Amino acid sequence: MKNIIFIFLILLSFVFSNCSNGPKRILINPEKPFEKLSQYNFFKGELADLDPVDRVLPYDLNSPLFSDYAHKSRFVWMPEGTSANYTEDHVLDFPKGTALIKNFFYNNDETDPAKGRRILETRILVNNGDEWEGLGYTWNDEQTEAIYNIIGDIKEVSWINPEGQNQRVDYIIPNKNQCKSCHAFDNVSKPIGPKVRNLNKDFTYPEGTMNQLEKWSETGYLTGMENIANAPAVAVWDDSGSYDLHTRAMAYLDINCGHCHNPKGAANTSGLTLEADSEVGLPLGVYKATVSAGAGTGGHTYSIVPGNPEESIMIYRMKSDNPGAMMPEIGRRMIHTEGVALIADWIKSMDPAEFSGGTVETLN
Amino acid sequence: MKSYHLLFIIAASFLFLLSCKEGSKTEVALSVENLQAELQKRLITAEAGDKIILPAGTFSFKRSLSLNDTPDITIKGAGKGKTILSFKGQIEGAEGILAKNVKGLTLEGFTVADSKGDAIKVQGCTNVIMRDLETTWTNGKLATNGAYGLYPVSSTNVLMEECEASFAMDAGIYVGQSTNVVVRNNYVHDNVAGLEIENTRNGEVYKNIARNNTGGMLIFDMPDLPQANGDRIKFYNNLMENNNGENFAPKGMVVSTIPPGSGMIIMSHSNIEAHDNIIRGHKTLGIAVNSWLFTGVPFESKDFDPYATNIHLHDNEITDTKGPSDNTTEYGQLITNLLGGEAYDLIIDGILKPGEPSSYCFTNNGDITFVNLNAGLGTALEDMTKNMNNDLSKFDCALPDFDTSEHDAWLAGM
Repeated sequence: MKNIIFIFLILLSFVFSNCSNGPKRILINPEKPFEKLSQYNFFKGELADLDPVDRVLPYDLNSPLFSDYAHKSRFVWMPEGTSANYTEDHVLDFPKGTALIKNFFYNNDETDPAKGRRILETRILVNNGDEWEGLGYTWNDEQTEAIYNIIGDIKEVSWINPEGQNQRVDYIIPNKNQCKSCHAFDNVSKPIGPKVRNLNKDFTYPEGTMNQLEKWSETGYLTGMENIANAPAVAVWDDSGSYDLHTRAMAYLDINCGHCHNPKGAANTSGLTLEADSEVGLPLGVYKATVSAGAGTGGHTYSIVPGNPEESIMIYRMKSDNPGAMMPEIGRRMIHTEGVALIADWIKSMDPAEFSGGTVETLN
Repeated sequence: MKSYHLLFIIAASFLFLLSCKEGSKTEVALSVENLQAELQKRLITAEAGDKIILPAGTFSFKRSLSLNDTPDITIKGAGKGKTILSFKGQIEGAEGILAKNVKGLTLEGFTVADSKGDAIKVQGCTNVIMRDLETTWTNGKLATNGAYGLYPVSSTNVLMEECEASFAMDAGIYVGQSTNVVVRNNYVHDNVAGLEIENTRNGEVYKNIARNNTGGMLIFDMPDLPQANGDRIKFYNNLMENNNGENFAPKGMVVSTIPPGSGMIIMSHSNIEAHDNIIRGHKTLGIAVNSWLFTGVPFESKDFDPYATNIHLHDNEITDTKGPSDNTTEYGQLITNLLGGEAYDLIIDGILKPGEPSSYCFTNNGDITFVNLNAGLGTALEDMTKNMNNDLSKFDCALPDFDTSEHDAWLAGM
């Protein structure tokens, strides 16, 4: 059946490629990815401008996953006549054929946007109906094209950070198997970010600023949202003016750790659940002894020691850049200083008296 | 017209591809020249039934190698010590090789050296053979070495044989939360824990040798894990010898509490039969049997059974257990304080499951020294000093045999 559809799509593409003046069709077959990013027709004009064609909609998240200070420019596309169903429980129920297009780039100089940027990779997640397929495209140095690449790469990147300091990292483009390291839920690949609570924010479109969920509804990409006022929103992890410390910390853990540290994720063997709605106690790591943290303990006993970030394994692993000790295990080479500070402040704010240090009689 | 023609070709090629996919068994031999560049690619593009052959030689990798989902994959080298995958310059990945969700996996005939984290992790796989593999760290006993050498976890039907694991700062062989496991004819040395079985059900561990580790062989149940408890493990015909190595595990890890000079430690795991093992030359203890409660480390899971119950130790040869006992770890210090530095062939914490006082049977282990710390009556040092005794006679009993045959059908089919 799949093959018939595929042949039909190819046939369609032949029909359409004959009308050279008509709009370029977006066609995605995850089983036969295009060699070049430009072949998908997501963008018009210069590819590096990432200027989306009609119905390729840019979006943003309240709290994103940290990726070595890279910026991410995200887009969503759904086949004509289809839409995602509203749900507050998990990632939106996207229709088959949906593509999430994520471009990773560094601004050459964060203090001066005029100095341009360097795009390193574009990841396309395509919903094939059963699960999501990850297609990786690595940009050339000339920034004219990105080429399909399953084995990933290591790219040296230099830039100037907002404080005016020179930064450098060996940026790692993951290989195809590694997609699942983060994206597997019960061994099935799924997106991580686009949940209602993470999409519920304003975005500045060329036509003006609008709430993303409303924009998606208006575009026909989202059905079933009854009232935007009732839609949940996760905290913006670095907006201390609008959200309290606990909420920001939970939002940060949710997007940076929760994709593995959930009961059906890759890190379920640890027994640690780091999701926005995790109970503040043992599941979150409070006075939780490690099982197989390896070098990751840093000499500490518990994942979180209330009031004492320096004695907490969680902080130790966030502050490490040793591949055998650090968390997350992949997708990071640098230490997210601001993220560490947030979680350390949060642990410091916990009152040890509120947590029991044990449920058993102790020897010591 | 042209389109029809093409359509036909495409349809035909698809049919051809489909027919290939069914039952294809492709053998892909990598060469010395292309292995480094090609191996990861082959692991990604592998199709069901593929056999990936590695030549002899040393090959370095900067990133983890990973394998996902594709069933019936074999990776076979020229033999341990001959095909060496070195991760000395690794900058990414928490393990050397990671295989996830593979049904039918054979890893055979190669060495993984100096990975930043675990050497070979096999997670959520079924019908796994790990044979003639070596895992090691080449700079000696360092806290910065990887935690586990061979690490099958949450897997079902696992056979590990003819492997060698050394210099892991946790366990050389670590079987975690798995079911139907056979570990035989392996050699583990110079690790903190030589071989460890954790929260595992239905296993047999035999004819293995553990030397110069901190602790030779451990059978632990840890709390708050998806597979809450282990069950039914038989340990027999193993040799644990001179496991007096320093404990170089980073503080905070459970194994960092293992006293140098420990032959075998059973903790909270239930239904263990250990017989016909030789345990000799340990400076702290031959065999210890403890409850998780003895560690004082809290747990939450209601499904977790912290007691070691139905522990049957018989016909073991425990000799040359000779102090002075360890004084470098918390547990070692406790034992040394209580027992004056003397080593014991068999030490139990005496924290028995309420209502099951005779759940330990120790028979026919020769003329052994024995101490029951009787910590069930109190875990403070002065309590144990007062309550401990050397009465082995009340453990002179037999326990019914338990069934570990679930893996037999699978093993027979190989």
